[in-house]
Amino acid sequence: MHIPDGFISIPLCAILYIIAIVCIYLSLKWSRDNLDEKYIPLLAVLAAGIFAIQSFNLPVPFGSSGHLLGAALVAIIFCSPYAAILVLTVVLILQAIFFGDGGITALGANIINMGVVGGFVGYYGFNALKDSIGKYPAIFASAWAACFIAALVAAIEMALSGTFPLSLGIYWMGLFHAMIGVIEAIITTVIIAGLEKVRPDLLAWNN
Amino acid sequence: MDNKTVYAGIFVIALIVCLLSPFLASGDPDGLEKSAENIGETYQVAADALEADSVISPIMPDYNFPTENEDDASPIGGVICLVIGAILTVALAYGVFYLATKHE
Repeated sequence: MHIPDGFISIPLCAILYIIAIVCIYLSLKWSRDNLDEKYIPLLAVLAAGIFAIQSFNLPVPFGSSGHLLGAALVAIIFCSPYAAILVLTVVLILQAIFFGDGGITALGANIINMGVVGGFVGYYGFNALKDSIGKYPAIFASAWAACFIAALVAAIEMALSGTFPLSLGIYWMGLFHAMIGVIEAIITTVIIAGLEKVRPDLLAWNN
Repeated sequence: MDNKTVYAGIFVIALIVCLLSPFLASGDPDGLEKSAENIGETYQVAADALEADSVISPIMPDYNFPTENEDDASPIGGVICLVIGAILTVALAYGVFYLATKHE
């Protein structure tokens, strides 16, 4: 879902950069107030894992492919969207600068879609659903929704830029990411179930 | 499992993914590109956006070393670039969270 240069109009790029910087500032503030230094190595290797897995596209029907975004995963592990925003920001900056994955002008947009929307939908979706449908179904559903809703937000940004008509953008982005979201949901659920098994203390919901 | 095993385990899994990705990952366009291709059939702005050049020239475009011809890119080069990326990611994330966490 990395938006390249040329898809988002320059004024909208600027607005999205400003919103992204505000979100990063709030995330740094949350981190300084709430995150103990003992989590530094875990966050660093999780970021590398997300970088790696984002290069591994899996095929979906109708000639497309997609990969884990990872914001819902980090948000649910830490029970906060802010840790996820910082992890995704690190990954997205390196991808844009060194690998041309996501345009440098669209970096603000990509941080908002994949980091902020992904992190908030992932965590608050999980939180809202866990008591009614159970922990693991809630992880599955909120990870799927994090990918799907991030794609719809991207479609709206493209419509505001005049690149896609709104209805067609919502239709195609929604269709493909409804399928890619299943990848997000399965991998997120498996990793969290694995952590619960070997090191439940690393999951914030257990503390 | 102690902390070091868990951290090393996650990093080793990341490196294994870097090793396999250039050989096994799907080369089909991602959901956004495919949407742009489909919309571009009837809507020229979307087709033009797909042709737009990137603003900066990254040193490892598409997770590989630049080649004259796209087909010359080797998967081994892809593995090297991804491993470099994974190491850069650990380092930058470590630095960011070192500055942004509570210290005793």
